[in-house]
Amino acid sequence: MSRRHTAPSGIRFTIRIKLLLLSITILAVPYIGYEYMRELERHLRGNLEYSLINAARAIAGPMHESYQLFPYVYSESDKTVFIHTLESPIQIDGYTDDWASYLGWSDTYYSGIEDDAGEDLLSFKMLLGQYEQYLYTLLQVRDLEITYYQPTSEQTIDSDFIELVLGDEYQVKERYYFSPSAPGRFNPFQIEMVPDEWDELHEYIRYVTNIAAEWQPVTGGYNLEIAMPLNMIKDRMGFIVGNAEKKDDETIIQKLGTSGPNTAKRPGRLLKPSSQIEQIIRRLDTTPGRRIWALDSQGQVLATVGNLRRDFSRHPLNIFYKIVLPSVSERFTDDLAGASMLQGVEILSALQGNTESRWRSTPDQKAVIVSAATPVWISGNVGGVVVVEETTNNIQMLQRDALVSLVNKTLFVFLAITLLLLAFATRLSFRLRRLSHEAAQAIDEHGRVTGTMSVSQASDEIGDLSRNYSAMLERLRQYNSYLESMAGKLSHELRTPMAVVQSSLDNLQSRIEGKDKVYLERAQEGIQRLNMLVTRLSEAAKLEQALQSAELETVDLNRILEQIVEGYRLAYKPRTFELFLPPAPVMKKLSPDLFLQMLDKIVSNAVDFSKEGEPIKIELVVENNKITLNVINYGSTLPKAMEGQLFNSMVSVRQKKENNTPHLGLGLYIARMIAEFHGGHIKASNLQDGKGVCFSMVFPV
Amino acid sequence: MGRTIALVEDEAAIRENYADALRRQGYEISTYGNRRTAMQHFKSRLPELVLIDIGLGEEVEGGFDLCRELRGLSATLPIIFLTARDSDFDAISGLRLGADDYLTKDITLPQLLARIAALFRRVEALRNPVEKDAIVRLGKLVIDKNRILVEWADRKIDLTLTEFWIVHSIAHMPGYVKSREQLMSEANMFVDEGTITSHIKRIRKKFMAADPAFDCIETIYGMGYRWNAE
Repeated sequence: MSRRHTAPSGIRFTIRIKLLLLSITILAVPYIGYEYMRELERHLRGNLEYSLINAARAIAGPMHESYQLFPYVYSESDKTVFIHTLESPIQIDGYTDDWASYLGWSDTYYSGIEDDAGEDLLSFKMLLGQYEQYLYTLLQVRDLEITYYQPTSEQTIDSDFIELVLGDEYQVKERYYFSPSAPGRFNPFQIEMVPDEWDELHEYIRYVTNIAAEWQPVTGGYNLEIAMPLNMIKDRMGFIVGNAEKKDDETIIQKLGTSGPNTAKRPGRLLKPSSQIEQIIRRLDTTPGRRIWALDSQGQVLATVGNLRRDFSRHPLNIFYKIVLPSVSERFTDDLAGASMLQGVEILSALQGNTESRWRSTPDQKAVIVSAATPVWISGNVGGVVVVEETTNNIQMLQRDALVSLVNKTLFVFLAITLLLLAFATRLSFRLRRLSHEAAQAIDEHGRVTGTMSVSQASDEIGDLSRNYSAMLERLRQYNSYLESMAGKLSHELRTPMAVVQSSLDNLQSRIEGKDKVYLERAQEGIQRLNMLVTRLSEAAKLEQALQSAELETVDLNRILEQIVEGYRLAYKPRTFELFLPPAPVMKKLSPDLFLQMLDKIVSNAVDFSKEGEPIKIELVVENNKITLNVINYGSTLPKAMEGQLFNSMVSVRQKKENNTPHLGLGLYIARMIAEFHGGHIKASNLQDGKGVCFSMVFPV
Repeated sequence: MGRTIALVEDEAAIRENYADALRRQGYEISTYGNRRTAMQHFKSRLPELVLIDIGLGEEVEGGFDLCRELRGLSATLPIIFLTARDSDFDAISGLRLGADDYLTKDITLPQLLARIAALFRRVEALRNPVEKDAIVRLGKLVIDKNRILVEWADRKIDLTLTEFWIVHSIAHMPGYVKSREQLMSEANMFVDEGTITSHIKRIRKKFMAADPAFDCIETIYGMGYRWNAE
């Protein structure tokens, strides 16, 4: 029958859960960090652009007025061929395997004459590369029908051939013809006009041995690989591809040159990487991941230094970060690698004399490249352009690192704060629960203060609460004990004036005669009843002393109850008592006198409330380690509201005073105190059929 | 010339009422309102019996102190506590200090007079030769009704008046159960049942102090007490 208020059911938001929910807000910190990172990225990008422009200017600085580095100003119509720098020698075998990593750099030439299918009749790709002192050339010619050289032919050349034209600024020096009679290794030849004895010039074929060449037919054409010493070539160089086509015994030869129809007379200018410029650049800037171009005034590449790709030390990123952060890839497509001419807007602008930068994505969208171009001034004209390029991968890596570090630290802090909060909340809720538990324990169901609370030493609000509660309990206890002791005090204070009245009446006894004596007797009767009342009042107070000095002895409850009930049968004639005892003796350590006093109160109460003629049942039950003594009477029932209050001091449910005996509501209170003294408790409940009341005294065995 | 009785009581009305009643009985009464004046007089001349209230004005336990001092003056002087304090603790304290009886103020005058008379009788009897017929013998128990004396196995048991009457009441009809009510009326006292219980307890203790094997007063729970002769 707990009167404690219970919390509403459902989910309980304890302080601990609330604090944990609060701690989740800390997770907003990485988001703020992320926003901050984006801000940082904008700054870094600006910074990168600025530094690239500065780098471009710094590199361009020493080149100003160095006309030996940028010697010519050419007309736009002057074609060039570009010699790339190779990283390893090429094996001359007619196959493109060795060239695999450079194939993307090759230049394609078209004749512009299309066949019925709309495909160019004659086209080829050319790739020039230099490794140490050799120049390597790969020509991939599209030719559906290959015609080989017939040594017996009358005509000098009536087969497919390739003509190499070498010259300088002023004239063509050498011509070499590549026209094998069969696939494989062969020697090119020169055609010399040799006069005969009649001074008539004849074409004379002289094979050369310092040029290695290999011809291999492939699907839809053939490959020609050539290796020759670098010192053979001068400023200009060109190839003419000739395609022989036999028609009605006539051989028609179509030609396509690297510098158009002029190739034979004035081949394209050779563009070699300028080692001088490279050295200047290398001295000035070797930042990894940065590529620097030097262009001439036509946008032709003079030198390239550096590589956009670089090795990043790989962070062991877990899946979580891989999902959240875009991965930085160094495997982007670099469209400009090996280019012989740059044409971005920044370069066009630089060629106009402005310093400009540009952001562009790689064709595969995997990286963003920033390039800055600045002009090199020679005699007041734009003599060349320095272009500095870098990917934003570095920024992204920095950003990633920062973000990862931030997230890691935030997670750590979050964990720490959460643990702290959890510990704090646990402690807080433990203290509150202990306080709540102590508060609940301090007052029993009868509203009596049964214990004291431990006074908290904490200086916080809970400490205050604990102290206040403790002080409150103490005051309540004092008040309760005042109430409980009031009866005793009252009786004590009443004794003296009553003694005055009593002794005065006793003195009058002998003086008063006749009729007046009846008044004296009434007064004495009254004072006697008053005496009885006061005695009962003090009974409760005396009981406490009796409890303190009570001596416990082990007795057989069966035997005692038999005696007691026998006594009741005499005392309460003609009431009948029914006694039910367990078969075996029930040994219990108790104070027989107090036990008797308790039972007296209960039985007297039961007798008062039972109907006449109905027996009073007394039964002793031993089960579940408990001894229960029930006193059952049939008659009026208890009002529901009184069930818990019945055993409190000065509580009575009696409607009217029967037979003039005063009732102060102390009897059941005394019974309760005795029951509790014996470690048990006492309760009263109506019988289930509503015909009476059962008082149960329950004791541990 | 009647016997001299001193009444130490701070409540004037009660003091005078008791004094009047006692005077009517022929006693010579001297009354004192506090411990100091009482003690001054006692030092010059001791009365033959003293009635003391425990609380004397300012002195909450003045009666106890007075009793102690009186016992210092005379070991045999009959002393009765007459007080409003009815707790067992006070009763035990008082009796331990050597009082011959402990009465609460709800006692009626006739009951009080009877006790005073009995006490004087005991004092008187101690001086006079023993009257044979006033002596009850029951095994080891000897009750001298005149001298208000109880002996067990030839050893004197020091009982208060109330205790004496309780023992007398249950012992002179051995085997019969005396209810508490009967005991109360025979002991000329009005007390609650708990007081009887504590009286019985004290009596048992006193007998057991003389003879640890003493087991003659049997409690019949719910009914009362009975003397079991060996």
